[in-house]
Amino acid sequence: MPTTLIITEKPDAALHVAEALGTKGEPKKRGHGGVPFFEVQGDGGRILVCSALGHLYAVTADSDEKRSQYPVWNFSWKPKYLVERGQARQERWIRSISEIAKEADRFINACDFDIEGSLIGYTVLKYACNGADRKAQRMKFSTLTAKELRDAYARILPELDFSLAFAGMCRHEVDWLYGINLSRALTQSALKVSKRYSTLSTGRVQGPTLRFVVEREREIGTFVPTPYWVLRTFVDVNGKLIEADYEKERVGVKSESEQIVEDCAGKTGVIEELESRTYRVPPPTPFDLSTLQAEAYRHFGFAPHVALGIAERLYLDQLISYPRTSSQKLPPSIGYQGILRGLSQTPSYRPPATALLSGAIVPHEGDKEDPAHPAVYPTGAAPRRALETREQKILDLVVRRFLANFGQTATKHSDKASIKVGKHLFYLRGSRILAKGWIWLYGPYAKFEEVMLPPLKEGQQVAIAKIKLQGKHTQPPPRYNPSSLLKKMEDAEIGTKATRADIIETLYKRGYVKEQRMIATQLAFRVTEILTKYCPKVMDVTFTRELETKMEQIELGKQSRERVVLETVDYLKPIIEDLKTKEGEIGKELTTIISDMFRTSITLLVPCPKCGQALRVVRNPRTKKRFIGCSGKWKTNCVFSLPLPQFGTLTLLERRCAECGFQLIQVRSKGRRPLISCPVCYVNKQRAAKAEDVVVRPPVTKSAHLQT
Amino acid sequence: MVDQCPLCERRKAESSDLCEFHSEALANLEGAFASWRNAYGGDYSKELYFNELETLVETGQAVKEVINHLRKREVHR
Repeated sequence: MPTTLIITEKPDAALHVAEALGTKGEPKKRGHGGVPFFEVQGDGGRILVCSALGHLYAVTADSDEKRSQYPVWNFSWKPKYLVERGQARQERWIRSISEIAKEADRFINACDFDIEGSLIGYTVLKYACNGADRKAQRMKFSTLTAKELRDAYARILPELDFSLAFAGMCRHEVDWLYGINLSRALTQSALKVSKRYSTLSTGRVQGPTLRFVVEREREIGTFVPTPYWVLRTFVDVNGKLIEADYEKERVGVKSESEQIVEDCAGKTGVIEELESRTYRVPPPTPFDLSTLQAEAYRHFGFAPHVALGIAERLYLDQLISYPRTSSQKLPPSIGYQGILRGLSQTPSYRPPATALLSGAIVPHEGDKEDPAHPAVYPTGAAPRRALETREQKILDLVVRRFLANFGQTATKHSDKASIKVGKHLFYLRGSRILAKGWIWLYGPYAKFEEVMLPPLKEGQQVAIAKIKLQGKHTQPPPRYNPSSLLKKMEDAEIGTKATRADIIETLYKRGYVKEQRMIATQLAFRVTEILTKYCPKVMDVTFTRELETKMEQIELGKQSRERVVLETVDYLKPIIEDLKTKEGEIGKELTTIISDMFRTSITLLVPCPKCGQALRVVRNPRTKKRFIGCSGKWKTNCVFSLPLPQFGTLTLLERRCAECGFQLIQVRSKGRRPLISCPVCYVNKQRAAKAEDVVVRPPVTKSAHLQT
Repeated sequence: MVDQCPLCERRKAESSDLCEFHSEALANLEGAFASWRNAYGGDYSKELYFNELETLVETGQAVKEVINHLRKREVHR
């Protein structure tokens, strides 16, 4: 009997593919070496569906040199379990796929249709399935709904999307060459001089991204505010006080602003001119990943990588389409009516969905396109499990945005009255919505403030009821947050939709930035300065963008992977060799900052409340548990201590607790929102709860990694 | 170290007593004085200017360090 092996990217996807393609009964869950796969009867034979676990193969150095050795130019693709620690599960997975592959005579890559998915499927088929990549076929789909999966199987591509897979390989190889050599150069330089090991990393995209944050920090640090004055004016119109704007938004000279107040206070003005304007506000464009991440941050405060993680779970649950897309298009082939009918089964979406179904259904699309996927859209299916609150929020946002895409253009009306008071001019402004259109469909995510003006006529006299001066100062530029930094990367065209969020997360992990409003640390400054000084091109956005373009050309089959990799080696070789000769010099520049960083990362800003000595984060040598202890233990016998969460990356924030004034701490755990808490208040609450005999849970639940 | 910025660990910039970072803060400090003088009138003093900047949260940390440095240098003279 012919046997087909289908490789998916994740286990959930494997089940959906098996369910969709099986023609006789439910998929049979089988296992090999603890690795699950599904078997169904279909297409006149047996279909086995097995998932990868993300990337099972990775780039690594060819030789068995030490991990500290550099430069390294020769590499190959090897199983990830041989390259990284803690990947034992991957070893089982590869062995099992190899065994299952022996049963098959036909192979299909059904991983996500993008660079990473194509590469995951390609490497598994090539290395684990004995070179099956040469004869394998490719399924292309954007949702995991049964209908789309069956369609994708019926219209299967005769061979793998090699150009996409090779573009992915090239990206991994080039990034590896940059990352391994530059990061080792920094780490070894620091180690050589300071004798303290500290992982310092940089990369092709990470370097320029960090530079954005550092440059912003530099602008803020060297910012000199200048004074200006604004006039807050209230006009009496038929007994009602309405705020008016002065003709100049800000006045830069104090005496001039005081003169305006003197000229206008208590005076009567005349309405010289009335202007009104009606304008149309088109619906928002469909969600590409970046816009989805930006909206998720704006409305819910979700960091980009969190929003992406949630969106991917919703995709695997067949609730939304593939989220890693750059497209702002919704082609008719997705079946607008079917989706709207599905959404109308949910009571809260019934009125808008039903209203849309009764008219012409045409989406308002944006300009951006993605050859692989449409924009993010809901499938219209109801959740099969109870969704977490955060999942509900993202799903609701995607649904509302989809509904809004099909809405009518909204109409707004604005009024402006010009009031002359002597030689000065003031404006009254009002705005209101005439036709809600899509605004109704977008629900809570469309916010417009309406200001209604009373009836006014030209020549009408109005009194200046109140006028006062407000002294202000110019503001430094705002710090980046994860969402605005992601937008900056996108505008600068560096990184990809799949990698940007992770790169931002790495900046936190390496101690280059802290806090949600990203503050660049001294280490970030020093690393950026060193790289800018010794290898400026590595930090140059233009150069990184050029490389991105070359990789896009590989996707289009216009450039060869080998050539781009060779050019990268040729370019990097002299830079890295030069860095190697300057290890001592670079190490000296890094060493003080690393020691300072280490000290400040464990020393609290607030002193011990009992003896006034410094408080530090320490570990119990026996239990390895971390806590806040007093450094005066050996001098004053002070035993003051406070408990700390045991899991997650701990950061001492500069902010103080509003209740008790103690220094706040932050714990970041993978896949969770950063948790900010006050150790003193936590203890107080615990004591109060004990008094009431109530159990209080520790502030952070168990997570994967443990770091001080 | 002779070539070290007196305000941080960085090296002095060329033809400056300060590093590039603090030199930039100094340049901004000197450049903005004209705006402040224009805002408050010709008799507005540098001392008032420095005092005001030190109290403002908008003033960059490096600028505050430079003001402190200039004051100390003045005392030494």
